[in-house]
Amino acid sequence: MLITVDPGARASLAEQVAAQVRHAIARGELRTGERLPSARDLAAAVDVNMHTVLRAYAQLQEDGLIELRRGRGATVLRSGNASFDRLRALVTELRAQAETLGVPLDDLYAMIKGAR
Amino acid sequence: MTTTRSMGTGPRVTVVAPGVVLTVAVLVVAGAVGPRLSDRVATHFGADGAPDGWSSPWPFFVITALVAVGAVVLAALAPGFGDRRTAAMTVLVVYLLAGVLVSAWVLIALVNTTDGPRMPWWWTLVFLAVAAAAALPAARVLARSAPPVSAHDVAPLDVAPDARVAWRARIGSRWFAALGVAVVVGGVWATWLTATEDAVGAVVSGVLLLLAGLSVLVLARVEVTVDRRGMRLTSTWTRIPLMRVPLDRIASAGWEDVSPGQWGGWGYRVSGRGIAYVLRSGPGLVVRLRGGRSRVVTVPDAERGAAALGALLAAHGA
Repeated sequence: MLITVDPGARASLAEQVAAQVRHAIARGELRTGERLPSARDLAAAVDVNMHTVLRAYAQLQEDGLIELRRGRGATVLRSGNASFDRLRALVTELRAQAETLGVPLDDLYAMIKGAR
Repeated sequence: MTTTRSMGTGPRVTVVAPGVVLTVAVLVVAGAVGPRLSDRVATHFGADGAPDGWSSPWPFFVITALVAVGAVVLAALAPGFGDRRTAAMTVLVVYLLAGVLVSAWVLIALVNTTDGPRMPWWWTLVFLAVAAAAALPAARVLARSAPPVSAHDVAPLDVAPDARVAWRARIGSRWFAALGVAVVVGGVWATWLTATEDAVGAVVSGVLLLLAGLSVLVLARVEVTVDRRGMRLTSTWTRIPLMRVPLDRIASAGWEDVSPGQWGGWGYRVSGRGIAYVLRSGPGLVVRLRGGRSRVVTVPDAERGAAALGALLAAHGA
């Protein structure tokens, strides 16, 4: 799991930490049941306040990606993985459908980008 | 990166000369003293220095001369070995053997030219000193000339100048965990079975097996962290630090395909090249230290770890 925090970026430090943990879960680097580094440890690693990391973890818990428990720290939840599994399944289905219809990948990107 | 660096004349002489000196010494003494030696000479001596074994000096001479000549040939070839540290270890062993044999034969030949051959026990210390003087400088020169552990260089992670980077990966082996549990259970079981027969022996072997099993368990699941403090390898279950290298001591980072054969097996491997934690064949994070030694950890995501460490080193140096 790679965490980079840029104090010059527009997003807050806590948002940056949360986003990178989210990415690590999405990529499958953090698996269900795996424990995240303790807030104190991660804070020391990237030189931020421990409460910043705790805020990030609280946000992730709210999103249902991790579970915070006293004494056990933060663990990755099945539900978080499951929603990413669903996203991956949808992407696979989307690519298959596009291939059936003969829609090139570039056009598909354009469609995804224009969908909102 | 695996090509060996050529050695200068000075180091080459340091490697080959001790063998040549030993060979010449045994041949010269054999030529000078040999004609005066009888077919049965004192070849074994008791603790008081008095002889208690007699035989012909010549079979021992042939073995000694062959080992000495073999040592010279090996020393001459050693700089061409692919792995200089293996070469250093081989030369060390052969030179120690040749040093002990040559000094022992020379001394036996010399004391047998006197009327009452005696050899006090402390001469063995002289043999060992001769062997060490022949072996250690040669082995050191070879080991020093060894190229650093090879690694693919990785471009540092592209981050903002004042960004903070941390990378962490977990590595674990079910085999190690199962082995550790098996050894611990086996130790307890064996102690329980033998406790009635020999209580002290049972406790000693039980404690040894328990320690072995627990050390395997400590190594079964680890996490490697790279951040502004440097590189650390920590046992996940016990939090025992296994490696700790501050950024100041790191020269560069890369990754390499690691196989247990390169480090002599699995687990925590200490060698002249540095320390490696080898759990499987595959990519490993290679951390080159200032001074030529390395730390290696097999981990699937090694390339990104090396890139993160590269970014940290770049920021640290700036």
